[in-house]
Amino acid sequence: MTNLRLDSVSAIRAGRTLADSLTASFSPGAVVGLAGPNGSGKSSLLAAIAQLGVEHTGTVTFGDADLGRLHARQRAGVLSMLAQDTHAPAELTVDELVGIGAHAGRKARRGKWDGKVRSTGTRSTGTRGDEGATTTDTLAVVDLAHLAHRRIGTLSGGELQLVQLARVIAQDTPVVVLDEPTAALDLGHQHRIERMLARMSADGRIVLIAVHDLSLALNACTDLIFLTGDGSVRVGPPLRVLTGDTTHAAYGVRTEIHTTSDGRHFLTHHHTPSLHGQARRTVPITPENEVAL
Amino acid sequence: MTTLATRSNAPSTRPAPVRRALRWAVPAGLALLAFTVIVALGLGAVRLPPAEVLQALFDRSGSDATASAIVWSIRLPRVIVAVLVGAALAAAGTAMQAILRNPLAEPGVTGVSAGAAFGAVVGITVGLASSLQWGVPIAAFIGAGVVAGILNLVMVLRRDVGTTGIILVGVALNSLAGAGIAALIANARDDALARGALFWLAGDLALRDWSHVAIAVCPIVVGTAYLLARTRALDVLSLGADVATTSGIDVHRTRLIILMAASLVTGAAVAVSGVIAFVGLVVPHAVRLIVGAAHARLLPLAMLAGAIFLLVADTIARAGLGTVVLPTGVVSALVGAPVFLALLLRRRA
Repeated sequence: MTNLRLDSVSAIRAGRTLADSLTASFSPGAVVGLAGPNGSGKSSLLAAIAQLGVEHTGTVTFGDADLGRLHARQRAGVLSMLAQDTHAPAELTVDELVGIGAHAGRKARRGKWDGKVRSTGTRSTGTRGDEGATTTDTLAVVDLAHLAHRRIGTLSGGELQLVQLARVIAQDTPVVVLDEPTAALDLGHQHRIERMLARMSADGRIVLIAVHDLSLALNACTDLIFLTGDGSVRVGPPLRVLTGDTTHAAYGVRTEIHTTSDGRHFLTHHHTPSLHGQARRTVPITPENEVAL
Repeated sequence: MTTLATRSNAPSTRPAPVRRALRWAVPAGLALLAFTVIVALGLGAVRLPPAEVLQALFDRSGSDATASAIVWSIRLPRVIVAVLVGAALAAAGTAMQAILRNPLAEPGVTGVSAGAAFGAVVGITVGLASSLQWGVPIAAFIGAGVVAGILNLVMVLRRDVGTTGIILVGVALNSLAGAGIAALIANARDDALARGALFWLAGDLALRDWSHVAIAVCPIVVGTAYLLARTRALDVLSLGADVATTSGIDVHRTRLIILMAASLVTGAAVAVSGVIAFVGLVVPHAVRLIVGAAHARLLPLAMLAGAIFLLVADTIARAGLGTVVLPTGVVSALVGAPVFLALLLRRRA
């Protein structure tokens, strides 16, 4: 079992750490949500973990490899990413875009890096023909084979998001980082992304995913890193982390988790603002009104 | 959920016919380039039929001395300069558009060609053109080098400068060089020098000889060869820094090296041709619309298209208009702009 270990990790912006440092370990199959209010530093933390050049404290290791010390080319064999910016040249075709991922993964594994950190033995390390096969297979897996020769410029936003996800899957890395993959997606596309998360987990990958949608976090994630926005960090199973008090402290809104008969959760917030939230925003607490509140 | 095994047995889609045709695009482009070169060598004040051109080229002893002199001393160097410059500008434009992820990027976007122009105008206004054969191109090349050096320095000192930052640095360097050029021309010692500078700025290939070929050939061949070797990196960089980093590219370093290679190529091209801005912007666009954005195909085909395009434009400038004098850069814009507009409108339809 090769785990992803975060050891005292915290992103730094303008000389200050954005949140308490985070220490956690995730095993293959983990789908780790990363949630918190706007500006709490989700993307920065994700960028620190993915080694995108964001200043940060601590280390991120996979197996015995320190990701921060790996060459970019070696790291591409360990970690792949769906960035928030999914823009690609309009004239690129879908299979070319997915092929970029297949090539990156293959090249990373072909080098001196012997793939010691690889968790499952099913991934290909073959020739150029395999690269095309990987692309074709991946497109089939995400149900996009019919788009293979389409140009990126002709896709809808949801299709592009899925194609970018296919590129990530084709890179075939044990760690996958997704920065808000469901942003601006319709229900059908969200559902497909959720299915892909489950599949990647079943394949034994470790998925890190920044999410805004807390219901998605509840349903799709095995673990949740929650940045409260005031600097503290909670880590644990989503149902355990997303307590009413935590979300209230983070968003100033009272929330409740409902569970459907088939076991899906959804998190709602109360229609009427909570008294406490209201009080915080508008009414100063004084000895006179304290009783009334 | 369907399993991986059943999914991968799904019939694979057949390659589009367009794609199969593209395998022949590079050989076809080379053949077309060779044909254009032969035709261009035959056109001019003295017309030579293709057979005579070929004989002059490959059988110098057996051919007519005049024809041989016209082909070898006058037309061939100019034709080679046109081919080199066209390919160079198209290659640099393609690379810039990929790494800056900006469709308006062109070889001059970083200020390199403005720097070359400034160097050339300095050379012309101090009278280098008449006193020293290689003077103006060398001055232009130095100007390009200075700007590339400044850009390099900025990027090394500030690793966080992104694509927009690079473009803005280019904007600043461009206007600086533009101001310098205007000041030099306004204060030129005599009108002939000022006119010479203006003509050079419009981009012209008149009177190009083997010394120009000698100056341009090495940097352009080395620079474009490097770019051709990095087509995968160009693909990945066109997806953005985050994707590129996690796809195994050292973004900062790779971007800088590609930028310097494109600058080298641009500097060499501008040094021998003046400012021909249109080719580097539009040829990559037009070729991308037709053959797609994968650089393994796009870059060589854009280079071929740029070479053919500039050669045709220069041949029109040289031989097509009788007594009307038009610089090559003007003809390339006059021919290219309508073609490009037609391509764009075709795409919308």
